[in-house]
Amino acid sequence: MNDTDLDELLDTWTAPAPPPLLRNRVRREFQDRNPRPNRKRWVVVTLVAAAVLFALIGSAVSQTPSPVPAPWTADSEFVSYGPDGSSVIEMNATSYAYAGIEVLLGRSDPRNPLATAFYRVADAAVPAVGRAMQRALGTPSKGPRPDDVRAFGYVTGCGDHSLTGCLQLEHYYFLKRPDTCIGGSVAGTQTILNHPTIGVLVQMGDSMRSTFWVAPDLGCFALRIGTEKRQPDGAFHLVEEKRVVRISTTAR
Amino acid sequence: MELVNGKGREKAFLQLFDEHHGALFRFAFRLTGSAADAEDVVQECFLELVRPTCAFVPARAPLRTWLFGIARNQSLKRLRRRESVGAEAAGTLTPETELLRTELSELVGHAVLQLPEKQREVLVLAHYEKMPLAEIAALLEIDLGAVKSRLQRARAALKESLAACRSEKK
Repeated sequence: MNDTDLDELLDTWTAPAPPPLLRNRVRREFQDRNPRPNRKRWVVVTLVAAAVLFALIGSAVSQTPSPVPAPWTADSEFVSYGPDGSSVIEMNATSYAYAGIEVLLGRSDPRNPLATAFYRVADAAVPAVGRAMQRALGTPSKGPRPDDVRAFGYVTGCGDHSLTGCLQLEHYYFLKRPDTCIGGSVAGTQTILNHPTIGVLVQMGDSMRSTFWVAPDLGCFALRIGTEKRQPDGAFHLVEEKRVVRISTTAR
Repeated sequence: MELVNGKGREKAFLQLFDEHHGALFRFAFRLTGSAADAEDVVQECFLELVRPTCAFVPARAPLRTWLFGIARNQSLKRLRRRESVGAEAAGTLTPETELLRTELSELVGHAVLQLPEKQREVLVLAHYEKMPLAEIAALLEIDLGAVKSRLQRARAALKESLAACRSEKK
């Protein structure tokens, strides 16, 4: 047998390919034995950043006057309705009316404490950042003045009188006439929590409409807002509702 | 090792794995005759690389040489463990593998596994992994002459043991 013959024979003995799972196995072992320093580092960086952010927020919020410039506050429930009529309270909120605007004092998610914590941080952080930016940029306040009562239904995240830098979400907004609470067609009247209200119907496209039950003696504050969606058969079905469940007098 | 200790540690580790694991697996398989052992050997090689006590020194040898050295040590360790517990020795055929002996490749594999360890590792590295003899010498920490000598003896032994195969093949 010569060298070439031997080489040919040796070449017939092939080794199997390494199993594909071997890579995962080695990788797992690697990860077990080497906890990722990067992950640790990111956790530390995140914690430090969060601490700084909270400190800044705390500082900004503490400088914010938060009186309630209204003789009362309202506790509300935000309810969603299923097609079968079932209902879920998605959010609780406390707010008051100021210059035709609903100012949010606080909110919570009864089903989710984490969401509640998030709301609190977000409601404090966003207006604080907004105010800080306005201060830095020197942007003049564009918040509505008390005599500029033209709209309600904003949700804001601060209690600042001037509403400068507030979080303003056009959550359920409609314009009303300056001399009355009515900004749409009147759907009826009813008494809610001992306050007479007028139902004002606002159409939002063809498929949605909302009815605002506003109380003239509470500065046109809406004690109930129901949003309905048109069904395939043409009928409207209540899908969301904000309803005030308590009016509390504030100490002034 | 800078690459593995620095940023992107896991990514660098997996890159090295992808680059070298195939050859290490083949090498370990041909030394131990066992795919399961070869898997364990490959795993040990790469984990050794990231141990705090890792002895790899780039100035002394290329990474490939170092990894093959670890694979060799691990393979021999497994072979000896097998022998000491009286289990199937490398190259000893079970009834199942006896049936497979009809296959030429099995016969060749059996013949290679029957070689003495020192000859087998040189043959596997030189023939199957196409490793230069100088690198084999560095890996085994022996001189070049010893590598050539072992390789010659291995090939001579195989020529003798596989002579029958050759005539069968023809």
